[in-house]
Parts: sequence; structure tokens; C-alpha cells
Amino acid sequence: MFQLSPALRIAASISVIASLTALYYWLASVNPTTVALSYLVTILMIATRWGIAEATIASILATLCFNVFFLPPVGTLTIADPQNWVSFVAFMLTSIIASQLSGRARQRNIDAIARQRDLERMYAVSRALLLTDDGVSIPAAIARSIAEAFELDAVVLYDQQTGTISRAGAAEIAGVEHTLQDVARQAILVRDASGLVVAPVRLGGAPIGSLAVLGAQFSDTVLQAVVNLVAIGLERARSRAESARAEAARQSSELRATVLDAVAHEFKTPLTSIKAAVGALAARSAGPELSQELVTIIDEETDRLQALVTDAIQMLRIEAGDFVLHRERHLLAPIATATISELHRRLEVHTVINHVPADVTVEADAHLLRLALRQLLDNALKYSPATSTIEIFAMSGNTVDIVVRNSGPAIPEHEQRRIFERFYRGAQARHVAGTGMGLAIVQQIARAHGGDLSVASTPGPYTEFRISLPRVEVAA
Amino acid sequence: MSTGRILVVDDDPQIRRVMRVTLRAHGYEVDDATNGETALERLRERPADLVLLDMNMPGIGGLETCRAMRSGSEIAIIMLTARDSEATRCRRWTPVPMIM
Repeated sequence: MFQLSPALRIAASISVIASLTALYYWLASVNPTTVALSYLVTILMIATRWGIAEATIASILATLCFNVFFLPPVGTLTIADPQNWVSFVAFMLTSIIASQLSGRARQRNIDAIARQRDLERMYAVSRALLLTDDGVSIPAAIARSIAEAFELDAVVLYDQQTGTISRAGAAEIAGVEHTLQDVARQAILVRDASGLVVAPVRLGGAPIGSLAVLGAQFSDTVLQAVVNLVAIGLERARSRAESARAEAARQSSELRATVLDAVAHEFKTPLTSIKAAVGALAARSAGPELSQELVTIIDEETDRLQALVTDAIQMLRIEAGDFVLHRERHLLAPIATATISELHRRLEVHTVINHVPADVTVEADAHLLRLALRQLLDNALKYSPATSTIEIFAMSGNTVDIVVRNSGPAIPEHEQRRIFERFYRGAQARHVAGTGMGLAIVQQIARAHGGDLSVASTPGPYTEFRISLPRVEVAA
Repeated sequence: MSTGRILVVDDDPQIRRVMRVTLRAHGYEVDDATNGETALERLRERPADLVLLDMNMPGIGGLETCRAMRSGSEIAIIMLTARDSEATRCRRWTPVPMIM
């Protein structure tokens, strides 16, 4: 809205009264009562519109003009008739009181609007502070929301615990860092001539940081409220950081415990075989033929242990994102064949059919792809009935899809959504050794190639896991 | 000469293999089965003196297989498990730590 400066408003008030006086004195012939009422209405309007100072000046001027121009003897500051004295004093008091009353009402209205605006701004800040998304720095979000809500030139927030300084707003405050640190340390409010206000942020009496604002016009109450909000925000940032650390530690220790448990369990079987074979050899009860067989068992089981260790280390690395993709073009069929042959000792009662066409190529890290396939085949072996058939298919189109299909029991829909989560184990998995990491690892490998892993499982026919890999042009 | 007939039930082929070899070396006649269903079938075909039964198997598990075997006979059964927690689950059995 159009706003006049105070000097212009006073000039305008004077000229309105002067015009009204001129109008009634020279142009219209009216009695003093009409003139007095017209003055009063004008003064009330000035008071309502502009304020007490303008209305008071207007009422003094109107009183003088009323006396000089409309109360006999006209043209002088004297009043002849005592009755006119009464109307003069009545007019003077009414105009001044009325202007004061309406001016005060106007001021209260202005204050109420300002308070409401402050409340709205504070609400905006607190909302921004409480609804900060994970991954966004809370101190930065606080500084930004204060600068935006209060339309400030600059906001700088110092978090004493982390030592971080977050800035928002268009203006730069030179050398504010030291002031912020001093204010946080000494817990005293600092104001300077440039309009910079630096306030300590305390929580439960203890200083936790400080806030510098430039271009602020808010009252001490509002400043205190803002500082309290900042304290809550910083505390929230702290508790979020702590819970993130705790969660990371929990996940990491859960990961280690799960891998250790699975590794220990998986190790027990080959170790049992080796121990038994060594025991039989030591007892020398076996003939040469059996001894040879026992040595073969020891040899094979040692290989199995070695493979288990390699897989466990690799899974931990992939889980930690600690791997490099060596992507090259490969024929898929030999990779599938090699993976199946790695599992041959466990294939006694299952049949695996490799349907992968000889000409399908894939742009992938062969080592990781084999690990992924081995995980899927291993799962199929674990969860499908003995003597059933496991099939591997591959289709090549916009993507290369590798499908491992088994005829195990269907995975319930609510579990299908969760089986790719690390450590998640479905109801069937409870009696089967495993880490709950296998599918998560396969998914991670697929995603590292820009692809994904999906599952389709329906009662009766089959359960299939599909790795979809994008076609990539790989330089030869 | 055979000193007895033992049925080994385990889903892991290597475990079955090593048990077969060592028990045969000690003069036992050994038959094996990969799961509970096959084990019950084998026993119906030909009775054994002792069953070495893995507790943790896919399909019908060790305990269930054991119950089914015991419902028709008094055959001696030794349950095998690598997990301590599973051993203590069977209250009527005495867990015996075993190193072989």
C-alpha cells in the first residue's frame, strides 16, 4: 500500500484542515456548528489513518482556525460571546480527546498486526525446524527459515558443539565468526550500530551456540522466542546425529554378528567332515581305498571352506560398497555353466537346467555376476523340494534378463516386499541356514550395473528371481 | 562280517559320504538318505539297528522324522545337530557334546 513519510503526513494533515477552512470561509456560508463537526470528522479520519501526532497537530490547527475564522469577532484570536467560549473549549477538548482515542486504537491495531505477523513467522520457522527432512543439515535449515520468514539481510548460526557456522541471507557479515564464538562463550547479547544483533543460544542455562541477525526489526520478546526455537532446533540436530550414529553402530554390529553366525554355521559342516575324515585316517582302520576317499573328502571340504571365506569377505565388501566394477562384455552361457559347476557337490538331489542361449552376451563384471548367480542358485537349492528342478533362463532385448526359477513354496506377498532387505528372513527361512544378506547382495550387484533384481512368486508353478541388466556399449 | 546296520540321514552329501566311509571302515553296513521322507521309506524297505539323524533338514525336519520312526518301532536314534540351541529343545533327550 502507498505509504507517506511522517513529515509528508503532517503537511498533508495541515493542508486538509487549511482547505476545509478555506472552503467554509470563502465558498460556503455555514454556521459554526457545521464547521466544528466537519473539523471533528476530518481529525478522526486523520487519527485513524495516520496516527496521534498528525491528529494532534490537525486538532490544534483546527481549533485556531475555528476561533479566527468562524467565531466572532472573525479575523481575531479573541472570542466576544461567552457562549462561544463554551463551544470553542468543547470543540478543542473533543477534537484532542477523539484524536488521542482513535490514534491509540490505531496503534493497538498496528501492534496486533505486528504480533500476528511475528507469530506467523515464528510458526514458519518452527515448522521448518521440525519438518526438516533427513539428510538436510538442521542448522542450515534453521538459518534459512529465519532469514526467509523475517526477511532478514543475513542470518548466521553458530553451533558450539560441532563448531559449524551456517549462513543464510543475501548480505555478508564480515568477521562475525569471532563475535559468534565470544557471545556463545560469554552468553551475553551484543548489538552494534550497523543493526547487527548477536544473541546467545542456551538450553537449560548452558550455552550451545549463538545467532547473529542483520536487518532485524523485531522486539526483544520476538528475538528471545527465535533464539529459543534455535535452541530446540540445535538440540534436535544433536539427537538426530546421535541416533544416526547409534543406528549405524547397531547395523554394523548386527551385520558382523549375522555374518559371523552364518559363517560359523556354514563352516561347521565341512569342518565336521574334515575332522571325521582325519580321525578315521589317524585310526588307520581304513584300507588304502577308503583312505584315498577320505583324503579326497578332506581336499574337497578344504576347497569348500576356502570358497566360504572368499564369499564372506566379498559379501562384506559389497555390503560396505567397497568394490570396483570391472565391466566387460561376456557370453552369459559359460558364466552360468561355471556357476552351476561350482555347486555340483550340492546338486545331488536337484536338477539344474541351463537354458541360457549360447549367443546372449552381457556387459558386466563376470566375477560379481557369478557371485550373484551363485546366491540365487544357492537360495533355489535351499528352498525348493529335493529332486525338484531349477532352471536358468536368459532373454536379451532392451535389457539382458537372467532368471533363476525354482518350484519351491510360494513366497507370501508381504514377504516379497521385504526379502531384499538385508537380514530379513521369511517364515520358511527360519529352519534354513543363511545370513539374510544373499538377496540384498544380489540386488546391490544388479544396481551397481545400473540394473535391478525382482521376484515373482505364485503358489503352484514357481518362484523366480530376475536380474535385469541394461545393455551398455563397452569399448572393446 | 557286518556288526550292524546304520541309516545315515543328512541333507549334506559330504557329511553322508564321510560317515559312510568311516562307519564302513569300522565294519558297519551303511545306508543313507537325503531327507526325512526318504529315510522313512528306506526303513520300511529294510530295518536298521541305528539311525543317525540330522535335526536340521529341509522338508520334514529331524524331529518330525524321529517321531514318525518311533511311532512304529523302538529303533535306536541318535540325533545330530551343529547347533546347541536345537539340542536343548528336545527335553526328553540327553544332549551329548560330540567331537568326531
